Amino acid sequence: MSIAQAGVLAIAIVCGVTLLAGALGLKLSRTTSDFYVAGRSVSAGWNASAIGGEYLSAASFLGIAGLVYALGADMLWFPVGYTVGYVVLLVLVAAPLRRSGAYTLPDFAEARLESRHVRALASLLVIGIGWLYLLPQFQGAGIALSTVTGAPPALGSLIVAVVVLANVTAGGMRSITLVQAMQYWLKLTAISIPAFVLLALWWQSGAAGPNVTSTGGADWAQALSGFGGREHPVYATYSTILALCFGTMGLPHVLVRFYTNPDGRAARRTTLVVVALLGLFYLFTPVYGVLGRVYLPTLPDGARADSVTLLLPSVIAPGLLGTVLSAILAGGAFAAFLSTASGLTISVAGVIDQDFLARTIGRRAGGDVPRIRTFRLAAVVAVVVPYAASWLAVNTSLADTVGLAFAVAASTFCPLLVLGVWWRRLSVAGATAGLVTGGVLALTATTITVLGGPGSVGGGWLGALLAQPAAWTVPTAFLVAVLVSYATPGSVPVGTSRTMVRLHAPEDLRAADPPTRTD
Amino acid sequence: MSTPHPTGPPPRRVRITSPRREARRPGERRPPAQELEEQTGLGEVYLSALLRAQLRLSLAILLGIAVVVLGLPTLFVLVPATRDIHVGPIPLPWLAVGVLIYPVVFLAARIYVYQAERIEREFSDLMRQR
Repeated sequence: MSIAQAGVLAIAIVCGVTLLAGALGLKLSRTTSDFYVAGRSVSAGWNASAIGGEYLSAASFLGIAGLVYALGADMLWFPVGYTVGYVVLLVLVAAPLRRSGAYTLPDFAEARLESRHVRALASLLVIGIGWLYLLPQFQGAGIALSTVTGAPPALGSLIVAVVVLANVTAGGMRSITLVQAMQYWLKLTAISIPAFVLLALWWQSGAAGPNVTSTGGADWAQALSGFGGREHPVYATYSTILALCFGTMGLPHVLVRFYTNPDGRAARRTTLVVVALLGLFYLFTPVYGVLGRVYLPTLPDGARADSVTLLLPSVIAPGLLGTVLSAILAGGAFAAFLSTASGLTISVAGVIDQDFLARTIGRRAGGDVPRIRTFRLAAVVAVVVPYAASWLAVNTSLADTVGLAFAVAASTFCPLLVLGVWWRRLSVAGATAGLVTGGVLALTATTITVLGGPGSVGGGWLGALLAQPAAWTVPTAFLVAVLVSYATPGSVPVGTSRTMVRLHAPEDLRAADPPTRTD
Repeated sequence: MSTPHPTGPPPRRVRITSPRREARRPGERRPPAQELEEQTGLGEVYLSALLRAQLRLSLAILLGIAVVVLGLPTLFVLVPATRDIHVGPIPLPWLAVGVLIYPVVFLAARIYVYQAERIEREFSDLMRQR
């Protein structure tokens, strides 16, 4: 069996199992509430696995190894940031967000600030961040399929888009919870077993050191050396850490998972397990970058650094073993694209449905249109736009694009959530000003970087600031939100104290559960 | 209700009571969260105390994480020699950032979860004792 055949088989199995698990879940999903958040009846262990499964995306599975391979030691901060982001989320907002009783970020914005305008703004941002994050998932699928089988990249993207759509429109999140939890363990197996085998082979063959020669005296293995032509590595490192640590809480698909915890306490405990699961996974990803430096001093023509994980097995272990390992990695990578893309699609589609489609279609049809039907339509919109965008030639690497999605989330939702949860003087005007400022600054920097590719504005400080915007956009957004709130004490929501009690008081003190939203 | 029906069952007796019955009787409890939500002066004080305790804990944990996560690159910048220290064959930055940082971060998260639950337990006990 050739590598191509084995890879296709592994990818087909992953897609098939995903669809099957989705179909099984369909039997359980009955009401709209079930459809969105699994009826809040998911246990902590399942939930943590599901969060891990959903979170470990193309950027984690292929992107980190690619970055470490291409740019060296500083890229190790990416997986650290992805993990610490959950600790920051845990410490600042996990329990209060669960206690807010809302489904989505816009729900929280509306409940806390009692304003339809802030809600609409939050909805637009969820869609923007979701699409920005979906884009590299589709790209990654294209890279993976073409690396393993030589098929055109557009085909891999299409497969992921179709499987995700089928799964999301059929089963909603209940099925997805089951699928996601399974995906975490699948991905951990797929990344760890080949890593152990390849490391053993490397050790056996004499453990040659990684190839660290480079241009301009920069050392691949040395921290902050600016290897790979990155200017201002110190600034870039700090800014990346900030974006990833504070962006996690603002990702649309991350937050919706917290509503499947039974209460605030369970939300915290689930998050703790998530931190452990992510840390475990990220021990393995840099291994591929390092081994890439040992065995692949130069990439084959046309290959991107993101494909180094998939190229390695056949180089280190030609023959059957390499074929099997390649197939395992290709299957794991597809699991990563499918799970992250499913979670994002659910979230983005939920917002498109709730805030835009349901109302418009309801008005046109002059009556009630079943919510499930509008949700399915919204899911199509949520997938098609980033899929089409993935066709445009985009030069940034997978992990870089994902990093920009984090930067936008950190500049917009992080101030909204942190100030909303902890600061009673946050006013509607302040929150709006913060969202707009952070959103405009971060999205502008992102658009220039993604469309133009790195270095399009020339090197130097401007390029560094635009490529890693979080270090200046996040503080600016916080500052604007706080200053405007101080200037407009009149627009502090009337029910702020009541909301704060709901966010912070332990559930056992409550007379009864807060009324759950049914729409 | 006012005209009793001759054949039906006798009308249920309605007890008319004074508004004083709304007042608390000894031993009768209102749900503690109600006091908080009604924004009585006392409820406000309790909520502020809870918020302050939780926020102080959160900031302390965040500070600890920042010392590790932002402190490492700062160390590498300020003391460039640390970039070249090797532990066995592995450079120190690779070992610290690639491996050791994860258990440290998990430990911080674990401490936070236990402390946050303790604060909430104490708060619940306090509210119930009243």
